[in-house]
Amino acid sequence: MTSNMSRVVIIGAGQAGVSAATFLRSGGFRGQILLFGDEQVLPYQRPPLSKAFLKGEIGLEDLWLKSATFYVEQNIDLRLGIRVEEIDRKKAAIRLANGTWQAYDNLIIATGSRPRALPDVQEEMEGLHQLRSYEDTRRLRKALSPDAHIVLVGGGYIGLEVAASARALGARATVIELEDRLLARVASRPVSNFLEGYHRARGVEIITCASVAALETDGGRLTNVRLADGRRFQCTAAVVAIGGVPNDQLGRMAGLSCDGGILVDHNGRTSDPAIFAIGDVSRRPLPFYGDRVHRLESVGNAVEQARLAVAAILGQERPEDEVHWFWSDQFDVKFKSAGVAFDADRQLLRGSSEGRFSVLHLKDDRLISIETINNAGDFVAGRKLIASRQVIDDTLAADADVPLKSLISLGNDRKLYV
Amino acid sequence: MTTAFQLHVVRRDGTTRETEVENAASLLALLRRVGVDEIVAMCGGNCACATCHVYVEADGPLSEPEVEEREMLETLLHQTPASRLACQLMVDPGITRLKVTVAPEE
Repeated sequence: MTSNMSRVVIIGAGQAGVSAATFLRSGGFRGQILLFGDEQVLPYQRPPLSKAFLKGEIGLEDLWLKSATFYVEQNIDLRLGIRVEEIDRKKAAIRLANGTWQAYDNLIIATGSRPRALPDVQEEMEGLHQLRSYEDTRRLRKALSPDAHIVLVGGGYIGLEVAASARALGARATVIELEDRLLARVASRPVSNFLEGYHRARGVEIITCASVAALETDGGRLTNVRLADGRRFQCTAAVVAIGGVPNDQLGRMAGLSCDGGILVDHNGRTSDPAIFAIGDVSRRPLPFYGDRVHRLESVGNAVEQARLAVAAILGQERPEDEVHWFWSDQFDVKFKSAGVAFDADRQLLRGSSEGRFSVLHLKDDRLISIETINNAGDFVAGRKLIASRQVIDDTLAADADVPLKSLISLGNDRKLYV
Repeated sequence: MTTAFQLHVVRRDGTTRETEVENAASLLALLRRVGVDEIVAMCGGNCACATCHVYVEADGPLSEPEVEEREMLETLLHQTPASRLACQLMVDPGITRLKVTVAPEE
């Protein structure tokens, strides 16, 4: 597949697609690279859309994944503002919105995910927002004047990040969460409790165990969010942030195996050997968790899968498995986590819950996940401990005076020395 | 206050380039602007991934790294006393010349 004549087509110019194009060139691929994005602007980073970019601290050009000249210098044929409508596997070609076909030798689907919609709600309503593109953020920013009152439907990372940004801009913010605590599906209770206290202390109103029954309008404009228990929250805008759904339509239409995302193997390869799916759109086995199949929405996962898929396409040595990682910034709190706490049998707290601590999740005496609040050292050491799969001592691991990195035993792998 | 200074960049492939740049919110933003694309900075400048590791020499004092940046730097194999994370470094207005060498990949 490394001949000068071969062509790799990438659908989606987000973090995953751009990373794949980059790794193809850095891996020595000399064939053609076609990178299709459905937005008009240069590929950009999405994480700041709910943080610094929402607050207006940085501009769109600060979000660029690569400079404009990069695509030219690297001979990456970047086609912006183009939707791909269909994959024809027999022809090994994709059909663009303008009806033309592009053949591929290898296809990489990197179409990402989109925000889950609130059920039974009309989508077009003035004052109702979702956050996925820079245009969404620009619209939302206009709605965040100091006299605004914004309701965040969903107490997950995006809801909380937007709440923190809204407070920084002087707006009122109310978070409505279905579960009995924030981040219920994605963080441990100590982390939820800490962040809840932190947000409340900074003026964010938090309502848990609450489901939204209706969005009330006046003249087509959102005025109130009404809960199932009858409570009503007057607002000038609302953001629905209740998770993401994969953009796997192209894969499903083409008959690729899908189940809540396009199913892929350890290299990102789909049920069609010529086609790969990477990033948010894919559902993949996780090697550190007994190959449990999972869909991850994170920058780290997008980059890792891009690297794996490119190595497979180029027939190069498979890169080492990475422990999944994630971060979120809210106010001045820096949250970072590594691994996933699947079937953990116990949880250890390192440090006090006041401003700097870590939560360790163990299974069979091994670290499988770590969440850190303002503790980058524990995050990096924890990630390496998870990768080492070594048995650790509870007492030492829970003692914040013992550096976590000192628990990493000296193996043969030099990377394990921290 | 925006100030211009001389930015001398040694890229990972060894090529060098010197340009006058207007100061920006972070050294990372400056490096992106001048097309230093081998820096992944996958966390988007949030001090979470350490992929924007650079070595920095300046003709004047630079602000000291804060605790998060120090902790990330300490975990790097290629750390030296000149190590900084480009996303965390705001170039002080007094600097007129800054040499930045992109660190090897970890």
